[in-house]
Amino acid sequence: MNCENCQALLTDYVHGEVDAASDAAVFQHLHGCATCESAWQAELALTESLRSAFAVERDFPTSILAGVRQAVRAEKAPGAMAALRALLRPAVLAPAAALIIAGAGIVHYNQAHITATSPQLSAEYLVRQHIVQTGGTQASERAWNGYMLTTANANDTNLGSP
Amino acid sequence: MATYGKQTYNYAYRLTGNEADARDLTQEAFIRVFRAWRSFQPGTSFLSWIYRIVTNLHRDELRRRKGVFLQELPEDNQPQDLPADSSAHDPIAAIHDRQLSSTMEGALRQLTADQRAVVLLADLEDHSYQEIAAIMACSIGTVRSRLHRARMQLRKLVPRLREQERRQGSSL
Repeated sequence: MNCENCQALLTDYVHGEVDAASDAAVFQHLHGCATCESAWQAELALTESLRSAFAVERDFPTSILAGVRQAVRAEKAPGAMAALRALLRPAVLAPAAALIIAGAGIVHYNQAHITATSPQLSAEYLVRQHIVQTGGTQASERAWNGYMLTTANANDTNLGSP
Repeated sequence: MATYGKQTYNYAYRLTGNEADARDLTQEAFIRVFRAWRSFQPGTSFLSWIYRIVTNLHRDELRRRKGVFLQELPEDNQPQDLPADSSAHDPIAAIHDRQLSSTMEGALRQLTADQRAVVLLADLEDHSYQEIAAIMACSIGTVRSRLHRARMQLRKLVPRLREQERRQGSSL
């Protein structure tokens, strides 16, 4: 290793940032070259001067802590409003509105369906009640058979059978 | 915050050269930390993350102020709370320390912001080139060249500033 190469590596050498092979080569060269050894001492002295100049650590001002707390608190309050605003965005509102409309449609359809079928249910209920109340008399049997016949005919008509 | 506050504040102080800016920089850095808490990757150095935020904020502030961050240090720049075993009991040593501190701060102020940050991180904070590259969002090669240039400049500046101070001292 020559002096030029050695001095180019001195800063990295002082900071422990050269690879093992270069480290050994610089180390060897420094012990045989007064010029490079002097340059190395100057590098060490500079680092030492920097460390001495800034050796005293300053205390952490408590006002910073208070300032950070205040800023974080102030940011939290508008955060709730921002979340509300985010919920009211069209991208969120449109699917929600579609779901509500679909739900209302289903409820309406079910109600209409139940209303349409309720007279049949009522008729069957009334006939059954009549049988129970008359205690299985001939009149009640006729009423039941008549009801069943009517229902069967109605079903056949709905199914399109001859 | 109590753990990293002092180190962050001291780094900001050395970077800016005065208390008021260091306080603002540290406060803003911690507010950013709280805001971006979820983006911190566990397993990485928390201090390096804060230093990165401080370095970026300092760079942004410099840009905003068009390169003029500080021209003069305030009156209270000199260390006041010296530890008990320091040179505070020895007036001559204390004066020497203050002169050294003043010279080095003066020399550092003549470096670019990036060069100053690299010197502080490498020589005072003992970070590796790889860590400095992560903090400064640049390559290791850039860290190396900035450090080389900065130290070369400091080697020229420090004797010159010392000579100036010696002349000023003898003329008083």
